[in-house]
Amino acid sequence: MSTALVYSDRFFEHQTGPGHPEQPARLKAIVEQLRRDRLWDQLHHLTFQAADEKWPAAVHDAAYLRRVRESCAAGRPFVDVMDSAICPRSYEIALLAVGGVLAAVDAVMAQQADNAFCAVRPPGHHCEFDRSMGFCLLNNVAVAAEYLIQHHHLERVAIVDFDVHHGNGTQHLFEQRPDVLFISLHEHPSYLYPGTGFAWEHGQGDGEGATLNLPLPPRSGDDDYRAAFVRKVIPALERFSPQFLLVSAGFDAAEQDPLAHMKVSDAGFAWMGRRLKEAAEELCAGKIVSVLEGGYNLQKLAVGVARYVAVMLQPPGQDPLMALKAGL
Amino acid sequence: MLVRDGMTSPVITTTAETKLLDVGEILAEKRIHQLPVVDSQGRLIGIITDRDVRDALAVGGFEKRTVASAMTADPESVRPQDTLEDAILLLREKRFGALPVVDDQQRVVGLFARFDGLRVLTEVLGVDQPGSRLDIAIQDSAEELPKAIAILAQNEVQVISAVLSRRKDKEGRRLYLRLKSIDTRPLERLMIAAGLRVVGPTGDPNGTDAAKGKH
Ligand SMILES: [Zn+2]
Repeated sequence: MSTALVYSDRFFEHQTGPGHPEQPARLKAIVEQLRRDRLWDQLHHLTFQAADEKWPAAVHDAAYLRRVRESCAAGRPFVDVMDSAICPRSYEIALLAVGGVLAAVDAVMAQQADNAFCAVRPPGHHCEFDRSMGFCLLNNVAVAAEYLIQHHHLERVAIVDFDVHHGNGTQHLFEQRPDVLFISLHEHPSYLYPGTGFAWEHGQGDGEGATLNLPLPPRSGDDDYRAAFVRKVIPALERFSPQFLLVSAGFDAAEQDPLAHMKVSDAGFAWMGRRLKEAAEELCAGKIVSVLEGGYNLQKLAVGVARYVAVMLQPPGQDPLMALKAGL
Repeated sequence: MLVRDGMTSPVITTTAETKLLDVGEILAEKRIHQLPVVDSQGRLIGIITDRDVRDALAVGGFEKRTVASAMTADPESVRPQDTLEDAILLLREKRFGALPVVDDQQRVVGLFARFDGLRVLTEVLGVDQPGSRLDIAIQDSAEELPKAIAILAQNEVQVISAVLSRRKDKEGRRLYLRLKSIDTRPLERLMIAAGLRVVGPTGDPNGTDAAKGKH
């Protein structure tokens, strides 16, 4: 059994232009770090292809998908907002990223891997039903959640989003539904983009209570994230009892990330990964797929991902606390 | 902006002859707090609030009473062409819940409630639009404001709103910018290069250092 990795050099083909924070070098740094830490060879490298457009269309507006496709084909510099820079290949690569995440979901569902990490770009969690925001062209994690429900017939999927920015797109796609629990930890919206994700946003209609926003003040660090996990995230997951756990894994809460003001350490990301993995083991037979979102300090991003992936590679129950819990 | 840009229209009205019982029902059902009272030509003659209805309920003979006996006659009103300042200051000054909006023939065409004021302010500030905040200290408006505006005009980032605070502290006034971008650094760099001080949103030198991309 193993941890699957979704990665392709083709993700470099999504070109955002010089000086853009969401650059191909992010993935390059991650790959180099995984090799340096000798994790690369331990990972089960998945092969995958671009997703069938019907899966992004299961959460996004058809007119929006056409707009992205046509904007790329026409060689436009961005779609909807200047943040979302594109090149002629961007749509194709965005579909490849979705395809990778769906392959990871399939591998874990088929028990070909215990869990998976998807080192993909472009990221996804800001992408709304019908518009691009904040570097995101297709909402990778949202498509995966919908795929688990429609294709794998699951009834309860949980998404934990620890990217430093609020996962507005994911929230809005599911906030009226009870079958997808969305939990977002992020820097408080008064201080950071996109300015949503207040604590009082907790779902609507049938989805009331299935959205949990945990805004944290600027300069929050490991202890603050740990407290939020112990007091809120884990109890909410236990109450919901998901059949699958998806993680929007952004590493921009790292100290010295250029786009935010938090102070999470490498060990902090590893701790969050361990706690999420344990929760998945307790609640859904360890089925957890993490998908890269942000992280713009290349060094912090690479080390954060490597520490996180190392945790995913540990066999279940290896953690002494888990062993104790399991009554060994 | 004018009252017509922020008012709720059309609006439910009632008449002086309507039973208070029925008015109470409408208010509860529609979850509103007041109804303008109009004559047969639709002209404003009064306003009746949920408070008026509750007060009347405490006295005997409620079932038989009509709006005429409990409403405020000839209430203050505004016109669609009045400015938002007219409406907002009047609401605040008199502590009204809402103002009927009437045309030049006194016919009711809308209602401007406290909530409408809140909504307009939210829109003006742009806090309902996805974006990032950036706070610039302005010591000398005459010198620094044109610099800041010139940078915004270069359109490095799309600006959702720009508000200059009236209040002043030791760092001067604040230019609160709301930007339609996840990355405020390009604009920050231009502001700093022009000698302006970026002081927020976090108000922390470390925070702004990180945002300046020094790492
Ligand atoms: Zn982010």
